[in-house]
Amino acid sequence: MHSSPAAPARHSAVSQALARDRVGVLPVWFFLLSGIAPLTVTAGVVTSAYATTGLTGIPVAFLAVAVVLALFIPGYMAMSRCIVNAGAFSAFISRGLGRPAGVAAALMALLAYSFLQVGLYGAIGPAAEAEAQARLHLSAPWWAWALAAWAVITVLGLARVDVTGRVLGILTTAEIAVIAAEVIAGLARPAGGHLSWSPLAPGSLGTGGWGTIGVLAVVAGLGYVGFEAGPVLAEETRNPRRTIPAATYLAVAGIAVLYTAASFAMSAHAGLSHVVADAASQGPGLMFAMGGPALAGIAQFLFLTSLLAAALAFHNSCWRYCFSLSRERVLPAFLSRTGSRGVPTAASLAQSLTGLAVIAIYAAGGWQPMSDLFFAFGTTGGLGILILLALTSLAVIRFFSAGDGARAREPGWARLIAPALSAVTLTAIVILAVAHYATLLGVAPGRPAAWLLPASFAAAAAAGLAWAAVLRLCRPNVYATIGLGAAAVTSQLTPAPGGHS
Amino acid sequence: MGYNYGDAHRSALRPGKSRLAGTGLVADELWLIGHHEVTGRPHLSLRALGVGLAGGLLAELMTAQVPAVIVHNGYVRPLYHRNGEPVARFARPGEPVAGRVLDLIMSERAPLSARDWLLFLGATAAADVAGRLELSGYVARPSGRRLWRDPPPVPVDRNWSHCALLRAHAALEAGRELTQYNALLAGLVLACGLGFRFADFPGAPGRAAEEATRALPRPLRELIAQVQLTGDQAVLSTRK
Repeated sequence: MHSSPAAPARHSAVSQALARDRVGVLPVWFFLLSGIAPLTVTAGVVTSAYATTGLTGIPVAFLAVAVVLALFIPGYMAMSRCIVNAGAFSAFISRGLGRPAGVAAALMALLAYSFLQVGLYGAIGPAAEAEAQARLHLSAPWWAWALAAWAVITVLGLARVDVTGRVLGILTTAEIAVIAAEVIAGLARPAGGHLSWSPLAPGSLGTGGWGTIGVLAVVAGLGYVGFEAGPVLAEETRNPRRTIPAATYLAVAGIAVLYTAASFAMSAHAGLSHVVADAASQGPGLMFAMGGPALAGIAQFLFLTSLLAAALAFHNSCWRYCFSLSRERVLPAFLSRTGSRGVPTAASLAQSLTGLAVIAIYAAGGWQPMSDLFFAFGTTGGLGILILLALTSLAVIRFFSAGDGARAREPGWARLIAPALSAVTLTAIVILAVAHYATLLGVAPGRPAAWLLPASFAAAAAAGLAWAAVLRLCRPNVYATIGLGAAAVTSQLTPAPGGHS
Repeated sequence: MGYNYGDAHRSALRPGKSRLAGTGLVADELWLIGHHEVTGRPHLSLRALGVGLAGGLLAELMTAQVPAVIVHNGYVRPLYHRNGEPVARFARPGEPVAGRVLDLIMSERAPLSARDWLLFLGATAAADVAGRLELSGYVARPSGRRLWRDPPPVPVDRNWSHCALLRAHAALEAGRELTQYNALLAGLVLACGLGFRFADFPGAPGRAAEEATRALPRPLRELIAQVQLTGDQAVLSTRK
């Protein structure tokens, strides 16, 4: 007996049935926005950035980072066509720069997403506290509200409630509409009665000294975190080769316009010389105050829902990363055990326990949640993502330089020129940011946080390299499949003893 | 291996026959292992369990007395005699669910990927296999209708469900003879994420899963690998 040769399947009833279940550009675009949470960035990150860093070049920084990401995306998309892996960064880095680098990147990615997720509790607490005080006349400390949100996220995370689809579409659309309304209101009433375009000038990047470009880029880069999740949905789209890049470019362009406009409007409305002080005194209110009281009320409510949606999205990203690494057996196997909801329970709970510990520490320490938790952890997570983007760009170059066949057919722009430019730019940004981390955190140089937080990625990388060495020595079969993701299982098929094929 | 699943199915329907031995059909065993032995609640998400059961249905076709399909290089391909005639024309399963699956495979003009088949068949596999088990007497639907849907099927006897789990676990016990059926069942149990069910057994397994499945023919090992690949992607998917 023999089997039939494969041929492209056309007009297949099965393929058509599966195609009906697949998604197009718009759902993918909404999925990307689910982790970006527009109001979280504009009302939370941008206002905190103005207040903490004292830098006013934030609007143009969003545009500058968009250009850098536009250089990053071609290589990233090209590589995602060759490698299907939900743990994209670490898988790409494994395949391009070697397995030890891949394990190091995996731990750095897990740390970065964890920073991002846990940091959100520092904003949720105060936002919920303000809402409860204003609407319900309830008074409780920020950490109590943060714990309540933590409990909700824990339950929803275990129940595998992804805020996707229609609910997210409605929330995201509402957030964007509110931001647009605030921007229009803010630009319509600029400080001093006239609009100054200087915050959009490239020279604004250097208002705090050109060394602080890295700081501005980290802040702006934080706003784009989530854009990289497109390849996760590649298998679920009708035409991944077209849909994923289109949705990704659309997301980056949309984010650039939205965040640039929002940060510029805040600067214009408050006045360039007052925006830092106003941000320090008003916090997210700097954005809400641009429109009238009714709009502010809606914006404040949506700010809270945006924070919760982002916290849940990052929580789910963390367990997905854990699951992928556990399936490759880089992390312990129990982290990939799923229950009836399809959630790896241990991985989800591990992330929840991390959040609980941090909330408890900050509550006991009496530190400021918005600046010391939300902004510090958020920007540190953003720094981690930028490090991974730089490493991924290098991996793209190496991956395509070593390949032939399908890899060689990718255009030179995607496999060499663009990733080289983005690698150089991103590396420079990371170096500058680390060198000026005290400015980013708004603390005096030499304070422990200014070196501990960025150093955590170095520690994660070192741990990853060491663990890779252990795996190579003690579990070579596991080491051999690092970076292959779920496809590791098919890559290890060998003929059975006895001549079966 | 190579069993006539039509006979196995008819045998299971025989009144008075002990059902501790199971139906001999891989997907049936997986269904019993994948659902709670008393409440009938699935141990996994429907998507992940569906992928596993779809793998079981394909495994049945691949391990029949006269195999009609094979998984090769990621594709599910019908098998042909030397004269070009499809094997399926002369070796149809006597059991309706397997017959429908084979008809679907044969109706495709070109082979489709194993992943596509697992997703497509997985959408209805749980219901199809539950229906088959209901006919065999292994599961039953509780009396009383709910407002919007029929009550889910529940195993009739928890011991029959437990015996299915015992047969899968037997492949991992060093002191037990390793049969192709048990190895295949254990491989599919682990691949679709039901490996935690083995945690109820005392002590560490004496035989690693890789060792148990290594002796299987490559097409079956590839099927198990594809089930794990597709199941993992289902877990990571943002859709339920």
